[in-house]
Amino acid sequence: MAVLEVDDVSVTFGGLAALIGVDVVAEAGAVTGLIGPNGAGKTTLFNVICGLQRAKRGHVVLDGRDVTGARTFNRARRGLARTFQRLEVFGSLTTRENLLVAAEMQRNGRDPHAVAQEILSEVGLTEYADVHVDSIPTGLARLVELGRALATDPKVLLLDEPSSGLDEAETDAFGELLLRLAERGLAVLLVEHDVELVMRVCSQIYVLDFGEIIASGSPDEIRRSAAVQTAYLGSPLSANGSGR
Amino acid sequence: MDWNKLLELTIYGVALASIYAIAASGLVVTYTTSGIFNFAHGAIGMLMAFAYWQVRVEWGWPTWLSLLVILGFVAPLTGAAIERVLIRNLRAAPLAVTLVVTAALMVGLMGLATVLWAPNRSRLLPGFYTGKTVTIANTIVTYQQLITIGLAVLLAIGLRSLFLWTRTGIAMRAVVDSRDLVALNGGRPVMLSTLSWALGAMLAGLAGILLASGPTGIGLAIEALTLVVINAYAAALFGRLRSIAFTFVGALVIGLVQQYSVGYNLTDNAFFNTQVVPVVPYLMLFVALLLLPEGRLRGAQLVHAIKIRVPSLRTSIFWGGVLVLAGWVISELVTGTNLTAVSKGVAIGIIMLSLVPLTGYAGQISLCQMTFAGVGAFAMSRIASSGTTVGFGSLGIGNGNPLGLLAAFVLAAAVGALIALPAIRLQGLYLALATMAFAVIMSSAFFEGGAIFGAGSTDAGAVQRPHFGFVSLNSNAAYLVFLTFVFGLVAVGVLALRRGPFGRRLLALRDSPAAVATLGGSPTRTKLLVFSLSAGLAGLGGALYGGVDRNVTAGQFSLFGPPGSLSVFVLAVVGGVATVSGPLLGGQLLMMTPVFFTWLGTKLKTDLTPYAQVLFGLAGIGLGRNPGGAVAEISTRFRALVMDRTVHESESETHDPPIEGLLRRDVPLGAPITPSQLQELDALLDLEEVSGIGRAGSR
Ligand SMILES: Nc1ncnc2c1ncn2[C@@H]1O[C@H](COP(=O)(O)OP(=O)(O)OP(=O)(O)O)[C@@H](O)[C@H]1O
Ligand SMILES: [Mg+2]
Repeated sequence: MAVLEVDDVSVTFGGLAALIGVDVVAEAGAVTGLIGPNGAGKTTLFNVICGLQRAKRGHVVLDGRDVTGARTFNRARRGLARTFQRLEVFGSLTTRENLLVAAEMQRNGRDPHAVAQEILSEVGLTEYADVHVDSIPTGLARLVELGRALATDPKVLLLDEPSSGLDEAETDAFGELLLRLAERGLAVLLVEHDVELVMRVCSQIYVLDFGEIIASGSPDEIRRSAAVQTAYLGSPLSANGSGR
Repeated sequence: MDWNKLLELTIYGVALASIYAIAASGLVVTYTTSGIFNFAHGAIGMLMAFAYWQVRVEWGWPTWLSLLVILGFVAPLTGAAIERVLIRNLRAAPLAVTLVVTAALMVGLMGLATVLWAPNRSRLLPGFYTGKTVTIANTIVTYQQLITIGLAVLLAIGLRSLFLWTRTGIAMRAVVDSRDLVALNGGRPVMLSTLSWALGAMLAGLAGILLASGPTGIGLAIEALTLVVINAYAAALFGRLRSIAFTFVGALVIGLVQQYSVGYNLTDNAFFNTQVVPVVPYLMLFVALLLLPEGRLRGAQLVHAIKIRVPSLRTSIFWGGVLVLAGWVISELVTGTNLTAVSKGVAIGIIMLSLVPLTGYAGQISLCQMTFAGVGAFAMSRIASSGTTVGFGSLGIGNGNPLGLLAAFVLAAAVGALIALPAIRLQGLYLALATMAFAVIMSSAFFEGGAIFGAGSTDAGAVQRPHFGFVSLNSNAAYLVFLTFVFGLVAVGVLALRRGPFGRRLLALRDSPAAVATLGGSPTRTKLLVFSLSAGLAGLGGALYGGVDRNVTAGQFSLFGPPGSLSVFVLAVVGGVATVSGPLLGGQLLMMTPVFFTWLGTKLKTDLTPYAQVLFGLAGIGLGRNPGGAVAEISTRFRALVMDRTVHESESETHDPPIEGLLRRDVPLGAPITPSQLQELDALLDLEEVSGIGRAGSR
């Protein structure tokens, strides 16, 4: 079931078209990938989805409800959570407090402290629980953001390059975590430069280039798409294009 | 309809508007190029007017030479020096820090003016071409008015062509959006920023001189002149601090409304005419705020982390007890005016504690805490009285009834919520401006004029000390102990707040409003709550402050004081608003420094009192960058000494890699400024078309 639908969204900055008629759908219980070169508009799309950026045109539908005009915090209360490419952690709070802030905003009757403790172990940050976040490494700070997003008990999770700053082993563990989250019924929309990771965990992938969706499909279809190769490498390699 | 009167008022209004436009465009120029709002703009204008008086009148230089020296050299050099020494280092600093520094600069400059031109004699500035007039349609227009209007028109044309046509101007506009980008393209942002501050100070000076020499009758009075230059801030707000064109429109609206309301007696109410009309520009500032579109939510900023340990409940109660004990010892040792000063210091400390949740935790700024204190004192004087007060009547429930303190808290909190409403949805800068305007409005239209505190025409009035059954607070010594007890209680409460969910939420909000919103929190609601709480605490402190002398005056609750909201804010920051010990120190500094300087002055047989204010300004400028304030600074150093470790180990580590704001503009580096980017800049600055107000896209 599609819990997040982005419908014909366009955004311009001054004269620059950052997004042009973008359609994206994210299903519950699956990880959906969104890839594209630098400046393609991925982060801008996330900002539109969560209401930090107003779109010139188009709609955002969350869990069957049109939230295009809704404020950011109201979208969050309807089950939308995200992480940021440029970290937006609460640096003067500890990891645990970061999660608590998120958990305390929920009105689901669960004990925030229990929620925070549970998530700390789930994302593997127990060791850093009482450390101020601005003194932990970037890769782990991204996990804090992920944990904080999870603490809101979301239905849709937007992740903006969550694995940058993680080493290989950590990235593998992270991939497993994503699949576990999807299994629990979450819809995950993943922006990631690590194409390996995307191919491994995503069931559906969208490719954004210069603000336009130029391809979408299963990992296999994307791997074979000529348009994707042009966008990434400058020219199509071969007609059937099974890679280098 | 009296057309002549209308024409006359219109010409007066346009002339006044021209001065506002000159001052306001100076503010806009500095803000757009350096990204830092200069609260001290008005004080610079005031200072330059005095400097002009010095050379023109005191030294008798010819007018042209005086103008050339002051506007051609002194003012630009002052502006450039301020930029070099203070502003340049603030580029990446959080808004709160930049506001503290420029507010402290304002305090310091006003102190400097008092030192240099002691207000013990009257000083008059001659007008330009006095007595020369022309007659237009039966209306007499002075040369000075014509010159003023002409200057504003020239300035408008000059700035417009500067921004539109010259490389420097285009670079100036580009600089605010991306300093790095301009640098890569061969521009020299640092140089440009210095240039714009020089220009800004010159324009402030010109406005100051025109105001002080004009027929407006302000003359050379430090506070009044500063406030009148600040009138122009409202005009800049109409231009959203960016658009020169709309700033001029705003100035025109304000100048005309002000002159019409002076000229046409709207009511026969003398109070309205003498107390409300002068603050019309500040009321307009609120109108401008209501018109401003909601900006984007800010992301995280590059800040030096402050890690201030939050004591546990037991520790904070222990230290609260120690404080009360110390208060008792001091009350036994100190007597007379010194006892009064210490007591007032503790009461001011309670008012400063109100800034801990607001500024220390949430990073918001208020320049009207003494206004809330005054509201609290007002509530106390009416509720905790026997019912014989005049003016607004009395709800007296008996002399010194402690419920008066509750009333003080509640009334101030309610007033706080009300005034925060128009500005709270906007960025912190606008809230700071709104509070400053509110301080001025309330001083003139509420506290002064005798209706509130005074009986008849005095601005002073009685405030009872609270009175708890068998405990007598009649002696000054007992009252001091009581004040330290309340300080301790509020401090313990503020720390408990910090350890709980609301405190966490406030810190989160300061670190990243954007992230708070994406987690489901409403930044506006949280800010409103903390602002209201802070106002309430200030109200409580104000009621207790009034009890020290059992009497208050309107001036105490004004912007400039003494003590005044501005100094209360600056010294709270100097002490440290991230800790509860900071306000204790700040309150004592504010009350005891003048006592000390006066004492020293009598020993040295000169008047040193004005130097206290200069010192406050310098301290604010120096410590404004360390959110921990003096207390944190001292304790880190002390701990370092004791534990034999390097001083800066635990504080001020930069992030690695830097955590930058998500919503900062993300322009690829190395690319030249493209036409579309220039177009965008034009749009941002509203230079293209007159469709500015209402367009989203503030930084
Ligand atoms: N606030 C803004 N104002 C002006 N232009 C912007 C703004 N935000 C983004 N842009 C521009 O919009 C385009 C898309 O940016 P966006 O950050 O969405 O790309 P992205 O796909 O996330 O890139 P990356 O992989 O580098 O993160 C870029 O050209 C960028 O410069
Ligand atoms: Mg991005």
